[in-house]
Formats: sequence, structure tokens, C-alpha cells
Amino acid sequence: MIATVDRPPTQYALAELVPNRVECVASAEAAAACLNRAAQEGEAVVPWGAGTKQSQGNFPARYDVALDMSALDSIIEYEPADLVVTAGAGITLAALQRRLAESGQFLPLDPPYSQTATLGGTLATNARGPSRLLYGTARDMVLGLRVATPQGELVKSGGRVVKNVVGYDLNKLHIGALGTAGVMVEVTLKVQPLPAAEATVVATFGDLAGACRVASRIAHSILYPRAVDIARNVSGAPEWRVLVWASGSPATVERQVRDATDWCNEGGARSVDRLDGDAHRSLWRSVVEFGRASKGGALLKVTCLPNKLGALLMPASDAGSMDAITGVVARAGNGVAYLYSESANVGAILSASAVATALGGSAVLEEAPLNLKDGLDVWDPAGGASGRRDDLPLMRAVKAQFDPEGTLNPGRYVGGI
Amino acid sequence: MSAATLIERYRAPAEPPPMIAELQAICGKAHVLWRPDELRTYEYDGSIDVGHPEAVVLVGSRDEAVAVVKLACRYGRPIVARGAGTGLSGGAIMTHGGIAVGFSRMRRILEIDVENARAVCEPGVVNLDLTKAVAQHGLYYAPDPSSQAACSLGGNVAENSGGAHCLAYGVTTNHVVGLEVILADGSVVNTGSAIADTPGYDLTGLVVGSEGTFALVTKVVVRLMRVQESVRTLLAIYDSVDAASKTTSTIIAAGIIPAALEMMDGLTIEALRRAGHKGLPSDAQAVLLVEVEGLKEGLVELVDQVERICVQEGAREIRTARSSEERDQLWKARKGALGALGQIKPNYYLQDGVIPRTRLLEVLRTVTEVSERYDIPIANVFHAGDGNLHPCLVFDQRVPGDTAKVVAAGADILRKCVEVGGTLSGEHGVGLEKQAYMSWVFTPEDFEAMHRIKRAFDPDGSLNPGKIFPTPDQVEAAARLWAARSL
Repeated sequence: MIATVDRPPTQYALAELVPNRVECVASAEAAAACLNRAAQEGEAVVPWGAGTKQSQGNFPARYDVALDMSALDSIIEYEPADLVVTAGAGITLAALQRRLAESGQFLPLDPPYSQTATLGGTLATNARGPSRLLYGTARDMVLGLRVATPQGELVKSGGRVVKNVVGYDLNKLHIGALGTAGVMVEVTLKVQPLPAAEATVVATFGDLAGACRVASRIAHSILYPRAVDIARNVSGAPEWRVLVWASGSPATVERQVRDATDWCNEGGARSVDRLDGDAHRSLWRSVVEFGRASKGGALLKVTCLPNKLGALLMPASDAGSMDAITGVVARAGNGVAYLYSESANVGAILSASAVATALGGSAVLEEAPLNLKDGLDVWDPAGGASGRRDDLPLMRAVKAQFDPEGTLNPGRYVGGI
Repeated sequence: MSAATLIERYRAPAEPPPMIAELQAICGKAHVLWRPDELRTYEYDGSIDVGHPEAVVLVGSRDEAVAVVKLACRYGRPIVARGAGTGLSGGAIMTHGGIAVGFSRMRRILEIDVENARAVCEPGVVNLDLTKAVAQHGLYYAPDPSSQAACSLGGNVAENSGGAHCLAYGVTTNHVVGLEVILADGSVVNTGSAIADTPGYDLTGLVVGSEGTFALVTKVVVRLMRVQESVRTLLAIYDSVDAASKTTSTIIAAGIIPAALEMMDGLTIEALRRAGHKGLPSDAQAVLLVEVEGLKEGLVELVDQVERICVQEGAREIRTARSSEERDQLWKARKGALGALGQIKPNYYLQDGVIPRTRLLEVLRTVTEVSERYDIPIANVFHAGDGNLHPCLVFDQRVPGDTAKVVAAGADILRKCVEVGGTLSGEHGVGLEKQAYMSWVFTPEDFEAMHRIKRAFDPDGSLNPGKIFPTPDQVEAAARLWAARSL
């Protein structure tokens, strides 16, 4: 079942690391067999979807085989009346969304690379977007998984129903694990009805503090908007802006827009606008894709408690640092921010990481050019977070159980896993 | 059990054995139960199983719990965590002896962070007490098991508890963002955080629902939700369970996700009437309790839509709660339904199968067939919107053969759930109660993956042994059962 494709290993290179071979599998069984063979030979495997997020994680310690999953791209079972879908991990998110939309439904996950990324890669990196405020993240949507293991087995966890406490919840192990504990081959997801109406409120503020105050008020309110982001230098706008994604029934959207507009005005906004249709969609597309697929830039993800966002974003707010941090998107209700440095300024990346660490949060260098990634831990660039954690030994014990030979993405994950 | 054996079991020795004395030194004499008569309460939980702890330790702090775990480790004794003892699958029942660590004294809410909508709680905090404590800020803790006035957050974490309002907002795992746990060797690990997106494996998500077999939970960090602006509660009344089932499937298929969508059948309504609950029509064969919430502007249309579907699928009447008192009364009936079943027979065996929501009609008909075949009344009171059935097989334990009949009938229902693509449990857990049927759902490879994660947390298997995984005998029996019974 293993088709050796004509795509050359160089297409699967991670910086200067080129695999010995590429295996394009056409079935779940073939994926499991490939992993098992590699484990027995002591080879290291990098699971590969569309390759959009291979810039994430540390450099692998070893890299022998690229396991291309993109041929596992079918929709295996879809029952719209149950709001549940099962698909191959290699399907692109865009193809999945198109099929769901035909039935008036969608997967409320809006990660970057939304047109090219695969479902498996999206889940393995736990990629997410602004809609997490209302809909949560992958862990709130995945009902079941089928996973290929280095032991050559296909293992099922969860199921096809929306509530399930039977057996350990191994779905959680694989979401965001970068394929280090097994490779997803099949995913069952809970989907949602498409909202009937949507609109965006965009408000401009003279300072960061004002934007944070208003964004926080809206994000934590009874309006339950789909997303509330704070942005600077996203699609050109150099000022601090608050973006509110209203969604629901037409009446609900009007109410969300009205209240959000009022609160922005009360909060000292310089201007407040409403976007509909294409303008609304294109704004959120640029928010979602912000800082991605850029050549030479660096994108740092930092976190803190939502009410500390002002402090977290300080490194990006004063004029002096603006050369270094050139753009910002922050999830106001979640306490997560993405800082972009066009020049991949190491000093700025490290000091922004240190700020996050000092606030008790984390910093992860999601995208960076080779020279910047080399020599630092992308999961803790400033080096202050790992030392105060007490969960790393347990994570290593988990890895040792599931991948004793170190076959899967060795060295790329948190804590050297 | 002969009278002589009973007397022997409950006769108190004069002096505590050495392990007990050491436990007393850690937690104080008053908090260590070891005399057989003191232990009786702890032989049970909310299930039909029974087991015997050697000692029950009511720990007062994380550090005491650590010391107890280390002691148990030294003595080679199993450890079982215990919350309020309301579990329905035997999770807190001790089948291998050992020490029960009770968390009922650790019931402080350590922190309420209103701005960030987070709370940090000790594991003994009662579910509803958290919601009461944050209500003044317009917040609440969303997972609401029927036992929420008694059950503890630690127990909720162990079982990944659900509740009536989980249809829209998810179960425990969707609301717990961090934990402090003690591993079997006594080491303390903090997983996740009040801050989002901790890099690394989702250990929190793994521990939630692990039924006390991975670690003892000593701190729970949860997210709180904002109370919605407006809520409408409807009661749709039906002359048949079929029509109520069809309504449920149609509502979900229409893409409407109410905050709650609950069904109660005729027998449940009768039990509630006998128990003195008012407000339910005594001649109805089924009612749906539908709650929608959100901004008031959106509710008019939503209620309209739901009502239209109810009528279209055969509801004979729809009532709307006109006040919060009327709403409370409806929910009181729903949450008191299990207790009311005592009006029919003294015991009930409550099941928890889950099915795709498109298969409700078919599976509920099977439940009726099973009830008739075994001549056991079955009341259905459940989370219809989630497809999470709760057939309650009511019986009298004192009638010889009744318990065996009930277990057999329950197995038939579970088998049907699995056949239509569902599973054994939606929110109660596997514990002792469903381990015999696990091989209907999982392959040996699936079990091996579960053993791997178990070994990473608890290599020696000292935490809550004997649960979840079926014994080889049970696997064999389950295979025979699957082959033999036809529905």
C-alpha cells in the first residue's frame, strides 16, 4: 500500500535536515506499518500533513523518514442530523469545511493556513484562532481518534457520540502533541450549525490600556461574542484596534453590534465602524493568517491571565520597541497574544518572552527563521518557564510509554521530548 | 454471609494496628476511621456495588494526603480517593482493600478570580456550592450533575461528570483548566493552569475522567461562565415516547442546540406525582424539558422554532415557565426524578448509555421491549439532546433473582447502544459497573494504549485497582453475551 511518490525528500526538508526517504501512505494500516518499521530500524519519523506548520517545534534530533499523510483525505462518515463527522487526518480543513457547509454546518476552528493545512496537522499543533472565545479549542471538538502507533497498531480512543466517559480520554494526549505519541489517522468531530448572521465591530483606540479595558468588558460580557481580539498593524492599521466578531441570529447580532459599539464609544474609542460581508470576512482572514508564512519574520505566542494583557503587550506598545515588534494580535478573553517581529529581532523576542514568563504565562516561538531558532528552546525562549514546572518528568514518562524508541519527531517537543 | 462471620467482621479490635497508628499520627485520631462499624458507610457509593476499605482517612490538607500516599506506598496498600460517595459506577468502592482517602474536609474555595472568570478549589468543594459562591458576580460553574447539591468537584474530575446543561456547554473536562495532583509515589504535579495554552501534553485532560486511577486530585482550577441574560424553559407534553424522541432528533437536526433538552417518560412522571411533585401532567407518556438561553433578542425566534418542531412532531401541549419559581419547580422535578423512583420499587439500577441522536426512537423502543421481556419496569429520565440515555431499571433487591434479572436486562440495553454506534457511558464512568462490557467497545490494542498511559502515571497500579479494565474472564463472558443475545 505504500506508494513511493515522485516528490523528492528535499520537499520535506526541515532547514538543512533532509529525510532519507518519503513514505506517502494511502491507508491507516500503511501508516502504522511505516511507523513500526521505522521503530524497529531505529529511524526517526516526521509526520507530515501539508507541511504548513513544520516551522513549529525545535529541530528534530534525528530525521530519517517523512510520513506524508495527505492521501488519507476522505470523509469517512458524516451524519448532519447528528452534527458529527469522521474524516481522514489528511483532509484539508478547507475541504472539510466545504463539505460541512453544504449541510449548513461547520467546524468552529479557525486556525492559520486555513486553506492549505490538513486536519491532522491542525490538531497535532493544536492550532486555533479567534473563535476559541465562544467555541473553545480542538479539545472541545474532538470526539474520537484513530491513531497509528510505533508498535504498528491502530488504536481507537473516544467514539462517535457527543458524550463519552468510557476508557481513558486519549484524545487529549494527541491534540497538540506534535505527533510525538502517535500519528492521528482518523478524527471524529462534533460540528456546529453555521450562524445565521455575522458582523464585525472595529474600534480604534489611542492607547493600549483603553483597548484592553473595552475588549475585556466585551469579551467577558453576556453578549457572548464569537471573538474579541486586540490588534495592531494587522492589515495595515497602525493603531490599537478592538475587533468584535458578532454572530448568531440576525437579532442577536444586531444587539451584539449595538452594545459593543456603545461600549467602545464609552471607553474612549476614536472611531467605531461596522463591517459586514466580504469586509468582515477578509478582516478575520488577515487576523487568522497574521504573521504566518512570512519569509524571515518571527512570530511569538505569549500568554497570561486575560486581565494582565496590558502588561503582556507592553513590549509592543512603546514607540521604541515598535521597530522590533511590528504587529500584534491578542485574544482578549483568553489571555493569548501573537507578537510579530518582521526583522526577527532576537532581543525583542527574548524580552517579550521574559515578560510573559514573569506574568506566570508561557512563550512559544511558533515561526522563526533558522538562525533565530538555533540555540534556543522554542517552547521556552527566555529559559525561565521550564524550571518552575513540575510536570515535565510525567510528560517524559508518557512519551517513554507511547514511543519508547523515540521514533516520532524526536527532540521537537516540550522538555526535549 | 453467616451471622458468625458478620459478628467477626464488625467486632472492634482493642488497639489500632501499626499502619492505622501511623495514619493517626498524620491526620489525627478523629480523622482516621478503622473500626469495622465506622467503615460501613464507606463500603458503598451510589452504585449497587460493595467493598471493604481497611481504613478511611479524611485528609485535611495536600501535605497530609501526600504523607498518606507515601505511607500506603511503604505498606504496599492500594489507595482509593473518595469525594462525596455519590458516584454511580462503583468508582469509590474498594475491591482490593487498602486505604480510602476522603476529601470531604478539603472543601475550601481557595480563590475566585472574577475578572478572569476562574476559581481554584479544593477537591471536596460541593459542585453547587461553587456556583452559589460566584453567583453574586453573575458567574456560575457550568457542569451540573443531578447530584450537584452533594457531589464534590474532585469526584466530578475523576468521573468527568456531565449534567443537564452540558448539551450546550460541555462536561467537566471542558471546564477544568488545571489541577494539582499527587502521584502514587507521593510526588506533587501541577498540570495546566488558569492561564491558557500551557505548552506540552494535556495532562489535565488525561486526568479528568481517569476515575481516580492516575492520581489524587488536591486542587481544581476551573473556568466559570457568565450567567446568560435571558432564559426560557418549556415543557412539551406528549402522548407517546416516540413523538418526544422524534422531536429531540428533529431539534438537533435543525441545528438548534438548546442549553438543555431533557426527557422524562410516563413512569417517571408517575413516580414524581406519587412523590408529591406538582406541575407535571399525570396522564402524559413523555415530557421534554427544553431550556434555551442567550440574549433576549434572540430568544423569541428560538422559542418559536422549538415550539413549532414540538407541535409538528406531536406534542399535545406546550407550557412555558412564567416565573423563575415555575422554572425551579420543573428542574426540581427533573433533578429529583431518580429519588422519586423509590415510589415504584425500592431499588433502581441506573444506566448511562449514549447513542447518536438520530437513533433515539429506535433505541427507546428496544428499552421498552427489554422491559417487557424481563418484566422489569424501566423509567427513562435523561439527557435526550446529548443522546445520553438513563434507563432506570426499578426492582426490589429482596426479591430473589431480581438483581440478576436487572443486570441481564441492563446488558441488553447497553449492547443495543453499542450496536447503533454509541457507547456504554456518557457521564457516570466505567468503574466496576461496566468493565465487564468494555470489550464490546475496545480491542486489545486499544486496552494496551490505555495501559500505557496508566503505567506512565501509576506504574505499580496502586491507585484504585480493579477498575475500568475487564478481567480475561469478563472479556470471554462479554463475547458469549454478544453472540448469544439477539434483540
